[in-house]
Amino acid sequence: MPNSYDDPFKEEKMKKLSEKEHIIWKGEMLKKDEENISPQDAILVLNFEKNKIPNYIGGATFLEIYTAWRLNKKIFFYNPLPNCSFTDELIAMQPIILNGDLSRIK
Amino acid sequence: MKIVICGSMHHSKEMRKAKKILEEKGFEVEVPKNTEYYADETLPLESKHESTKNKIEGDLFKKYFEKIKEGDLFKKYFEKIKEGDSILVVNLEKHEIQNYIGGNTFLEMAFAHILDKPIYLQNPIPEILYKDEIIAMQPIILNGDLSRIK
Repeated sequence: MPNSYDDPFKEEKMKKLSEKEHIIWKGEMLKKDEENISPQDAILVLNFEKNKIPNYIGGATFLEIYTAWRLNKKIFFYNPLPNCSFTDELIAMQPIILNGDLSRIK
Repeated sequence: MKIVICGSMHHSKEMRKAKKILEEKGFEVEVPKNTEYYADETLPLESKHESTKNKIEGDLFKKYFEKIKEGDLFKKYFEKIKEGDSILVVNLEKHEIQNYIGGNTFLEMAFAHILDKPIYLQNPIPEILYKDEIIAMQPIILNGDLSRIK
């Protein structure tokens, strides 16, 4: 599960603490991707609409996808790829698009 | 001291310029494959591995084949980053975004960050979707002054 799954407002709390604390915390979170993804066989990206962008993926999720790709893991997308500044890189990582059908995960 | 230069091939001339400046200062410098050819304009713009509408709208098989090749290409550059001591991101205007950093360059920065390598940004952080993550990588912003690289 994602880094802040058990404490979904952790990032907001860190932001309130101080800008510096938030930056350091977020920087360390980014380094945890390999540790989290390495023991797994695949990742599933739940990409839903956010900020009025269909199938949205944010920067941190993009980095998790990249880590999975770098470690030669399977990458599943719940919905099609978003149209954004890194669509080309996402295509290059050859994800499997499920179009909402989780039964296709093998 | 080995520095790996990252950035869009649209800025190959500036990358070449940065390489020359740093080499004169005694650094060993790595630039992306074919930088010289793009800087000299002996390779056409379409052959750059860039985010372009044309590529996305092209034939499906060809598109995937190109993307797979691109994947190989950026995997190789990550090895260069691993061997380097730091990275320098040449970030200039592109797509009407000041100090642009593309998806591929963003990934290279993340790789350097994971490996605790210093990340130098030639210009300030752009207003872009992944700005917060770039801030979290705590890059050293040079404001164009390459002499600040140690």
